Amino acid sequence: MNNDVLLLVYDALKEVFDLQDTHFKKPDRIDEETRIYGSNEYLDSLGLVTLVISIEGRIREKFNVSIALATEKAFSQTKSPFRNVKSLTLYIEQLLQEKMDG
Amino acid sequence: MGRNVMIITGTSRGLGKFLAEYYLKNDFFVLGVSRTESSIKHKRYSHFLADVSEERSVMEFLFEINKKGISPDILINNAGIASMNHVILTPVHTAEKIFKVNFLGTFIMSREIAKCMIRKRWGRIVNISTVAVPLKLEGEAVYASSKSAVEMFTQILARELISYGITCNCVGPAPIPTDLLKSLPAEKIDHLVQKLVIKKCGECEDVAHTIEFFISQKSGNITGQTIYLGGM
Repeated sequence: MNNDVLLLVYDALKEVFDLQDTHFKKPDRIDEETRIYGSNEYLDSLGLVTLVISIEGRIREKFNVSIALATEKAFSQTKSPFRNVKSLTLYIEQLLQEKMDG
Repeated sequence: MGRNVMIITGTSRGLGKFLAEYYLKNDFFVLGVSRTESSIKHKRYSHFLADVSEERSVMEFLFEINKKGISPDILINNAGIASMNHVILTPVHTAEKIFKVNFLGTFIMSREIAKCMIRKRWGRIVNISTVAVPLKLEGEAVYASSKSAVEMFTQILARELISYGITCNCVGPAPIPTDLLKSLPAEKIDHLVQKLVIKKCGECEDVAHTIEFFISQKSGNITGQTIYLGGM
């Protein structure tokens, strides 16, 4: 996994967890296995929207490219790239690669 | 800078050009978007060449405005195309083209610009519909359907974005003598106008006036609405 992308996801998640209402629980620590959206989720759908916006903005600043994280599988329990940090990082890497390949 | 940075799509001609010039006169900073160059020259006007119905093109536009540190407050999704024909005589590619510009363009622009608005918890989105939706006239099946989709999209978008302080509304103008209408037969336009309460074509000012109401700072509780001009 690309360490820059992974760190970017960590930072964006931390920002969103901090912004979110206190009635949502926060994970004790954020690592590759931290669940993002799905069963036992830490984020609601509005939190997920905020996360997408935060990550897209950070990617623009860091890599100087615009990508859209929109995906049909976003709300799927088993196939969503947003199910945990690792799947999301790999998904972003794939989008970045597609962007580089033109 | 106050809440006066406005994006208007389709500013190279017709209603979009009028709206851009109107809001420039009213001290707004206007970012115009269209596939062709604009003739508008103003110190508060910037023009961007983009195809609103292409995601990649819109992403490039978004990247440009982000790079310049521009944060839009208001989005007017004006870009659109019209076509009148009997359903039996309408080619599939015409229907695709109309839906692509009218609906998909509105969807892509709204999705991307809403991201900027969500960050600052304030925004106004105004989409352009038409009186052809409630009038359900023969010959307007595809065009009116595409605008009907815009209205439904606006109503649901309004629900999804209101918690971020963003309102979404539609204006449905009566026919306005712009380039968009040039390709339509005069008797068809007259037939449509006769169905309105006010039996005459509309004017660009009517649309600007309605938009002004929707984008006002005081209109934070007005969302998910469509105002039809000329009267239903």
